[in-house]
Amino acid sequence: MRQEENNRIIADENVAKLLRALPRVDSPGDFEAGVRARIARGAGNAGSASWLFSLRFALPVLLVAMISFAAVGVFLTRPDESASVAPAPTAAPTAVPEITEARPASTAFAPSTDDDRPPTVVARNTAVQAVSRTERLAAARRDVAPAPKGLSRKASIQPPGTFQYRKKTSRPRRRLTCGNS
Amino acid sequence: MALDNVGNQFTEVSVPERDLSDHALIEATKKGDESAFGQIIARYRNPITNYLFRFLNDYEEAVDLAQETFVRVYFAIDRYHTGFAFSTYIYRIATNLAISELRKRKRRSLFSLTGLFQADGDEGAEFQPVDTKPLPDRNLIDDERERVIAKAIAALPPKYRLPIILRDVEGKSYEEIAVILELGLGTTKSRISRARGLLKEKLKHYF
Repeated sequence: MRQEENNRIIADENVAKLLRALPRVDSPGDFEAGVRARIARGAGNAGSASWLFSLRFALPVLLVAMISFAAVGVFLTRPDESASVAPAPTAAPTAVPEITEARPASTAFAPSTDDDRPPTVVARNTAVQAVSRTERLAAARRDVAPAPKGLSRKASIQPPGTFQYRKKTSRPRRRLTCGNS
Repeated sequence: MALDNVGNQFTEVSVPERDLSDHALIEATKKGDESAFGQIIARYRNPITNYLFRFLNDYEEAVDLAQETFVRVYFAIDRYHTGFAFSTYIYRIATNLAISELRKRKRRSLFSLTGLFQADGDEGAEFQPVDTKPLPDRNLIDDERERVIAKAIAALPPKYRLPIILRDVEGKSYEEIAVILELGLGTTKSRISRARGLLKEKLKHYF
């Protein structure tokens, strides 16, 4: 064991001796002039180089920032389904709630006044509004019984107590609403 | 004549620049003394060139990188701290440049069509065993031996090549090598030992 260790040390020494015996290489005579020329060139280009160097970092950072802003913008303007259910007293009444309110024919509670009625917020996104209106119309048509004699189908789906019969006049037909009007 | 800290007049004694320490030369360079930087170049140009030549096995490339090393030192001289030796600092810069150069070579060979059919000059260099037949001329023998040893060193992986060159060619201490290569002392010693073991296999005809 000790002999092996000694042999290894001797072999390592031999390798070291071989490497130490290698002739040393010197630099050329114009070495310093070359360094000075490079320094002069480097000092001349320092301004543009630093500008380019900063651009190298600024461009990716700008790109990432733009993507982040776009992502945040998309996230904030995304139509939120829960928002249409959440109460919001300032919501303007539209044609959609009148159909929604027609359903309570089968429900236990039917609001009699405007105050009893839960306020409904309609999403401002018109695309979403259009879809939900179509769906609600279809659902209302399925649920509501046949229109009584003398009343249009549309009038028959009004919530109880809100319908007012009107004679036909020459004025353009006004849309019936269940809101505060 | 100049004034010292307490206002006494004294005569500045000019010390020859070649006798100044590295740190003193650096301080003088920071103050704009170009000849002090010239003295730094004169002190380190040959060791750095030799070190890079043994690492890259290419003289032109070694000189080019040695010059670049001094340019880097010059432009970063304000950031140099005197906490550790200047020789360690300059060898570290040279080492980083040499490693970058090896990576560039690797990329070049990767993207060149000829590189697809050729072995990598550094990593996969085929080591040719020494021809043991006697040669007529002593100089030729020496040249041949030198060539074979240089090739054997160049065939080592860089992580073994760097420490053994610093240790056995440049004569640095283990502690200095550990600082230059940013390695632990134990890792440095084991890499040097491993490098010697690999060289021993390749150069056994010379023992």
